[in-house]
Amino acid sequence: MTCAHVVDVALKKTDGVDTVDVSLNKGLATVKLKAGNHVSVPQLWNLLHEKGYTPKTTVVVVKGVAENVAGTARLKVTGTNDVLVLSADPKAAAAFMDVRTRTGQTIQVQGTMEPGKNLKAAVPLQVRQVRP
Amino acid sequence: MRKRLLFLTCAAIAMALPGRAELLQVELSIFGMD
Repeated sequence: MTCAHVVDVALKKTDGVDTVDVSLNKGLATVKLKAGNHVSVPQLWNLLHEKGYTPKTTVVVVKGVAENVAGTARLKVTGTNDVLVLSADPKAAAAFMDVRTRTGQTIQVQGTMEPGKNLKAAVPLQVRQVRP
Repeated sequence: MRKRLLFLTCAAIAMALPGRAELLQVELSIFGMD
């Protein structure tokens, strides 16, 4: 059984996962999720860790309601009841500013998350792109 | 009974509302896969 197959099967077994595409050359697994899923990024990181792999930079596309709490931009993800803290990607500062003008609106954010030493710990989503 | 019906109706409406927020796609970079 190849590594790609192990990763593919493990991710597909996760409730809420629709399709999985594992690229061995790129060291990348692209996961598309079903509507109404309750999947979180740390959940997928932990799954990979349990299988003996180390998760790295993760590109995330997520839909949620923009919030501004005490000056901190956040995205409320109702599917998981998660609240993602948003931060600026140095290469896309304008996108982060855009989020700040959309408080209370449902938006789609594309960004990156870096796993820390504790895979269960919350990490900020660095905003790259925002769509209404 | 009426309160319960109202609650169930509200819950059903909330579930059906468009713009429900969730993760749509995740691209995981993985180290150690060969």
